[in-house]
Amino acid sequence: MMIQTIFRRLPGPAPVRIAAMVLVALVILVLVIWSYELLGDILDSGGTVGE
Amino acid sequence: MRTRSIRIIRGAGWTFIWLGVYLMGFVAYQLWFTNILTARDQSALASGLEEHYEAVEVEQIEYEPITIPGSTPAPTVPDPEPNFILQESASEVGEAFAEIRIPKIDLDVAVLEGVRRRDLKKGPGHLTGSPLPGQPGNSVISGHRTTYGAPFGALAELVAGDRIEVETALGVHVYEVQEAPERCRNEDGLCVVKPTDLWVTEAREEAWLTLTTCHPKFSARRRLIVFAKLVDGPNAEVILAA
Repeated sequence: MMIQTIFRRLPGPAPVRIAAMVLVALVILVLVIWSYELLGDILDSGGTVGE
Repeated sequence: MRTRSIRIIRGAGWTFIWLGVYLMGFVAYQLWFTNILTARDQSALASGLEEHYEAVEVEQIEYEPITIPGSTPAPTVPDPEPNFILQESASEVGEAFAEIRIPKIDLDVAVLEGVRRRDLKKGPGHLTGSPLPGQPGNSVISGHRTTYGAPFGALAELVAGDRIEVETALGVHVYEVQEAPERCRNEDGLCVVKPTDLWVTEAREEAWLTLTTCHPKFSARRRLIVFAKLVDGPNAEVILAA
């Protein structure tokens, strides 16, 4: 529902809006994975000593 | 007023739903997806090992026993005959150069040179600067305990006398797990230290293998250390005789 609302509010023709949504989704995915990697170091940093 | 409250409650509900999705994604990513990534990398590394063994340069060098300041020096023998050991050329950081096998915990993985985060995501990494496995001194290998294939996930199960084999271009170096030193032994008999306790990586007499990983499971707060001593392999006879 939230995605539909954002999609409707975007300016431009449908293909441009779809491309913008895909781009935003990719950016969010990259940020989410980056944050997972960062948080993952709290669980298991690889076990190095002094590094 | 009522509409506003409903909107706030709905907003909070959605926030918690997305937070739940995010956290579930985190758990799935760490405990499942990272294992897939490592399995893929390990498969590629293992297939390149044979090629590496053939390409690596091996030379014979004179063996000079390592003496640690403060330790009892070995009795001097007049004009001792020089002993030679085999030494292989160092690998590039990020390159697989060995295979570690621990039958007790069913471990058989490729080992990379280097302990950068991106190296350890592919498999256990050899601390650059420490001797290569099979060489005199203290060879240090670190690995993940819960994520990225968790190669050292069961390291706590090792007890004194267990075998660790490390295959390099020189052959198979066999190590035997030793009792945890008193200075780091906990109530379970494990050697647990702080991540800054560099003494575990310091040089040692004869040939040692030191495995390091995170402790306890699902925490990077401390390090679990396993010390093992070389008992067999291409250089073992010369190193142990000295």
